[in-house]
Amino acid sequence: MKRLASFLLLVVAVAATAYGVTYYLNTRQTEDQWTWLRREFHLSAAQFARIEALHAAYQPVCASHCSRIMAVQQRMAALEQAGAKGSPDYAAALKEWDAVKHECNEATLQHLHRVAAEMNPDQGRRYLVLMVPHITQYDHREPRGVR
Amino acid sequence: MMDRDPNLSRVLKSWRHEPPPAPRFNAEVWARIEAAREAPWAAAAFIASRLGIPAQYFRWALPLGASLALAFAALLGASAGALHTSLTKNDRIAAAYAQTIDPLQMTAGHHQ
Repeated sequence: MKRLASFLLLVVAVAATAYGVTYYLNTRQTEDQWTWLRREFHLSAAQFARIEALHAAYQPVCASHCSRIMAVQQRMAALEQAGAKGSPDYAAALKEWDAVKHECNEATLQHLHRVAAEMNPDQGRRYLVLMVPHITQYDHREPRGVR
Repeated sequence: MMDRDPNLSRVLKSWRHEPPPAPRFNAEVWARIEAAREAPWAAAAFIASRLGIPAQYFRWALPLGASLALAFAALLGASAGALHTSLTKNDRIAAAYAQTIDPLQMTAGHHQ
């Protein structure tokens, strides 16, 4: 009985090891995101070029939002370190943080819809179904210092 | 109940069996015993004995059933791993792609 139990344990260990090794090796082989986008959503050359242009046009908007986010976070962190968590300044910063988050989300979602509009209708729908949750349901970190 | 047949009894008493000579019989029996003791059930040892390879080289071999079970377990585990990565590939790449377009996710790493 003991030998059988040991052998069964060995079988489970072999299966688990094979699973782990295969999973690890396969996840290391990551496809380039643009290649994936083009292949997965069957983009024509023209569609792909327009989506690349949209992405390029979106970059300054994205950079601007990043700057605002980091500015708010730094302000809140400074107030936190100064022990002013209950102060009106902190409340105002928190309010601004909520506004920045909302604005960023809206801008990102609009970008996704513009990209989806360049695809064939069914592919665009698939794209949104896949991508929107990664924006709306992302559990982003709270600003530094806020718990 | 059979009656005792005196003729049958006489024939049985006079019957003698003369087996053919087998000078290597003893050695062959002991060689087979030795092979069975060292690798009693390994398929590799069975095949190797037919090829003249000593079974002692296969004394660590698992029984055929056990070997097949382990091979099947490895195949099953690898298949499950491949299937899992295949099913989650799009989601993983989509998550990485989202990190390049969402300012909130881009700045998340600066929160340390």
